[in-house]
Amino acid sequence: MPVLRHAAPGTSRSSRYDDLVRPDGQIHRTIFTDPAIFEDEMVKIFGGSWVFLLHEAEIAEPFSFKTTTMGRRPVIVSRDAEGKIHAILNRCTHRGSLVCVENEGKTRRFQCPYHSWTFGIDGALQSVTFPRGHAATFDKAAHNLKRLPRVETYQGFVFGSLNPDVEPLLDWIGAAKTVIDWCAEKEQIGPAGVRIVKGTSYTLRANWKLQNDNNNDAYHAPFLHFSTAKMNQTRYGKGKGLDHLSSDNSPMYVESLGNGHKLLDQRPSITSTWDRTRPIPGKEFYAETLRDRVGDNRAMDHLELVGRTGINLILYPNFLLLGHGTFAVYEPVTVNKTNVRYYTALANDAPEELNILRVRFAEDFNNLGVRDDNEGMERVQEALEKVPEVEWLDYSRGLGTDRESRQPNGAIRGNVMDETGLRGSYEQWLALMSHDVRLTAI
Amino acid sequence: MRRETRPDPQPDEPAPDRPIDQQRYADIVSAVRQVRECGTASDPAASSEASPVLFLEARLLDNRRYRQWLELLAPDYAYWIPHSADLDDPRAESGVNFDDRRRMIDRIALIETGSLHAQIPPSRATRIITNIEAWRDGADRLLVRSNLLIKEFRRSTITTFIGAQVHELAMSNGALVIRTRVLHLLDCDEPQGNVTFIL
Repeated sequence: MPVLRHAAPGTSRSSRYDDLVRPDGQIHRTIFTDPAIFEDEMVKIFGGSWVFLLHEAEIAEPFSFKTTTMGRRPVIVSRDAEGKIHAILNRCTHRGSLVCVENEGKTRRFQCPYHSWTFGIDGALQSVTFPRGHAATFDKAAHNLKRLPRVETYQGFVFGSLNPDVEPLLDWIGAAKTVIDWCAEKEQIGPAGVRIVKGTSYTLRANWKLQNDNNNDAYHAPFLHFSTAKMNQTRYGKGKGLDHLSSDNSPMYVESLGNGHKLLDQRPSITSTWDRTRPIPGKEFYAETLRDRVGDNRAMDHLELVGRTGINLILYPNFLLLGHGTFAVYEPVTVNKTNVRYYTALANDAPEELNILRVRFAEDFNNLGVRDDNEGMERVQEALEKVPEVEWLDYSRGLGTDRESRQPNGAIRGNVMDETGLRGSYEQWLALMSHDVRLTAI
Repeated sequence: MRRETRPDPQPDEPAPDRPIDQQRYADIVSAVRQVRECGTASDPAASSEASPVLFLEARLLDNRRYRQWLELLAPDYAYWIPHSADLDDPRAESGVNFDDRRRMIDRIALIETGSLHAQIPPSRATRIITNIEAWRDGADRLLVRSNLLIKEFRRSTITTFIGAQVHELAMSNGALVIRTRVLHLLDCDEPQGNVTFIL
């Protein structure tokens, strides 16, 4: 069987990382454990590539802002009077202080607490205190807060890069575009008319790539999540939660979409998201209220927007679009610590019942199933760190079998339980890490 | 037209519990606000009535006697750990946890499968409750505010959880049951670790 890859062999420059990511699906443990490699990732991946920042509805009004991170860099994302979005490095150009430590808010200006230099919502230096102390040659414009040279938005999702030469956002999204469009339109999550509320967030004692892998890995579902399946089956019978992911004989699939993006598509096996939804708090009351108010058929259209849609789309490196109004961002903290923050998109013109149920559904698997995911990933991290003599992880499942095929859009499709998508991400990891990149803040 | 099908109750499960509805949410909002805004000292008689219930709950949870603990909970029980400080309404956003009685039983049943890897080995926990203040609200209702410190030990690590909790206790057949419990963790808006046991 041919081995399917996105780049033709030999097209990536040789680097010290070539020996760590092998074409036969063997991945070296040190890329999960070596702090020096992590530092390099923070430059070449979480700086040199597109990185997800936020949904534009989180800063819906002029002069609103939110502080977030790009890799580990503190970043302020703001919206100016004209509605333009800016991504500003949160570091004073005078003597280097963090300028803003609030999570979010609305303001006309950011004022550094140290010497009270003030900057506009777009980061431009407005005034310097006691200005006679500066020579006539002092260039105010050269002291604007530094911004990311590239900020682009697609379907409301805002991405930034410190690499001025990074490809246009839509080129980078590539084959993932149709999936994002499907979520935006069918699931009514924007880009307009939505508000974003917090979902659960958690911190993980594991490398960020393990989380990135795990959200595309259906192979673990019947095993790591056996307890969830057993509880659901005992209490509610078949057809709830994750029990559609029980074998590798199904119409579902994974796809490596290029640029490290990957999709775990369960839509072929999910006929009704509402029927599959476990009895979340308020399920009966809000469904009945909605039926009474808008009639059975319209109520069902709304209720089908609650529950597991069956999309796990990962845009490499840090964005997870889960469908059902849910997305998450992976935040690398150290080589063995990662924060994961979930968000839920609520439609402003949707019935209140739908939004309340979406909020409760967003908690459901994170409290019942993700516990085992996190336990699993933390055990991987611990063993990788403590056993240097066993060097390799095996990501070869599906490789060279007849379960992989090239799709018309260039994607490589694999069996739902195979590691096809994961290998695509490591191919991208190697491509990004093999090239020096010039990062520039403007 | 599809209708949700209500599952047959399993032989070992209680009858379906009273669901969460708009009024139930409104009651939670009201309990949280009443305790936050209360400017009067607590009622010593109410406090001494409430304390044994809080201590019993802490002991049963420390000892993982979950089925016995369930007997303390009202049929319309609600449990909420907000993910934001100063948030009154669980409808606004997802919590660290929000469980009605049914989803709480799901979580207990999950532990009881013996296959929940995140509880193999199980957490050991010690809860310390202080600053118990209670107020009587009508004949059959106590509002209680206390400070809670939990130390959890699992797989060679001790983890600390600390915060203030609000209990709404209701009289049922001559005994107090827990109708609402809201736990305001001090670091509620930070990403939480893998909370694999019931706080």
